Amino acid sequence: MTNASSFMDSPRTLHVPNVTRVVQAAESLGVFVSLVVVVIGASIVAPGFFTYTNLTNTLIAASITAVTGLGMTLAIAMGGFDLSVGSVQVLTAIVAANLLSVVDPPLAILGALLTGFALGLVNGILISKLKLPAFVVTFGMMSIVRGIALLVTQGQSVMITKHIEFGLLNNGKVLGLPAPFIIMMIVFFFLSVLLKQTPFGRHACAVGGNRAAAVASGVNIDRVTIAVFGLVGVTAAISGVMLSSQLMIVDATLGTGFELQAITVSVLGGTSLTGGHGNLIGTVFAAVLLATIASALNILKVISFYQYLALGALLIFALAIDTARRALVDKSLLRRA
Amino acid sequence: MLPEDRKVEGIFPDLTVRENLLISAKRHFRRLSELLIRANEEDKQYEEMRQSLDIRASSSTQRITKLSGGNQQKVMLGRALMSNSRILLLNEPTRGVDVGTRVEIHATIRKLAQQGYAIIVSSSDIPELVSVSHRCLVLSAGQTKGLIDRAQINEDNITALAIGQPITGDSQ
Repeated sequence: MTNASSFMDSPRTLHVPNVTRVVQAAESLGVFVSLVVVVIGASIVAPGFFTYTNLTNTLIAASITAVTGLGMTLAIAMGGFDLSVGSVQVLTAIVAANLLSVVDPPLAILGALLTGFALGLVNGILISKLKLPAFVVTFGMMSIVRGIALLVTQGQSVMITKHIEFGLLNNGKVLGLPAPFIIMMIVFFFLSVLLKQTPFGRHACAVGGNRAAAVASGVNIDRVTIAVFGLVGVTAAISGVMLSSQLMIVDATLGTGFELQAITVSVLGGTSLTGGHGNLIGTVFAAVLLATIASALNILKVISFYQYLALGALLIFALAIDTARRALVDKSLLRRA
Repeated sequence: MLPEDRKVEGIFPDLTVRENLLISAKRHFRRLSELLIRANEEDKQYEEMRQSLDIRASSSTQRITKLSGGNQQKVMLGRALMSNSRILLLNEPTRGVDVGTRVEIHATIRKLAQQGYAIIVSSSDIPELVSVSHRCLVLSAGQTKGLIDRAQINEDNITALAIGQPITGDSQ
């Protein structure tokens, strides 16, 4: 009897969860393995890739993308996304650069972050209170904020001449690691705790996973939406500050296509566009992967136009993988039932 | 509140058992520094509720979709209790639930009623109504057909009211 029952039980309790567990582990591992492969490949085919200077630069570029990508991951987990991050990034970079000529760096940074937060809140309020789709609202905001950036600068470049120490945010080293990487790790740690350990993170995933159930269990959907988009705005602003400290000269044409990068690193990192969960560490790996590919293509003197091809192809590839993964998980759940 | 259709309005398929149970819990912490204390407290809340409802999960981080329908339903009931409300609306509380769990859920409902919860059960399952109710309001085709008190609740009387027949005396 015991034998028979354990034989009956085994496909349910042991075998099938293992399949899904393997698939879940592969979500994070997949992007990490491809990262290792691409780094090794780039080191071989692109001489000068595996140098301290180039690795540092790659890591800085990756960190700037990753910070916004992490915010985006939160939005996608909640079942939305934000197309305005590129425009918010450039406007906050300009705000920081302009403020630096009048106030000290900490105040300038605060001003930029508050600008990003306010723009994110506007996104969230429009989406939740006017019941508009995130696509429409953030697409419109993308154009509006870009317009504001052009108006503020009158189409001119803004150069940072006062407070040159602002550049330390980019060049500085903490324990031998570039400052942008440290900033990214702080954001990563903060958002990880927020997503996994707090009721707020749980509510965000709940809204993305099953909206009707979130309503039925008393989750305040409007408040969660507004807060998440506010956070995305802040992360875009952090990227903006990082960008202006990297370039020390900013204009309103920067940051085009940045929203695509942020969404790509989220999806590539294993966060499904259908919402319900977010894979933050995957986002970080995917951002480094993207920066590595860009750096290798640069060294190989591939015209930068091709980078757009690579980015688009990666996004479609990542979505195809995600769909295949979902099908596999559904199948194993069906077999169980 | 316990929704009628667990799949549509109940479970969050991407979240763990623990997260599904705690989703309606009131938020107590205000500062980030209280976070760790809160996490411990939540662990305690989760464990208490899991034990009192006898939810069988291999771990708190197991995905809810891995549980049986009966255990999922217990999580839903636990979630409703987490909201600290003294009035419970239970809609088809044992739909898609195995026989053993069904008996457990009925016992839990009776226990909660004894503890002073006001519980409104809506069900199309007549034996279930007989098992848990103190008073039973029969609705049919959009109309109230009659109210039966504890002593007279039995399957025959409920069916009789539903089809418009008079009810027959006390039940044994």
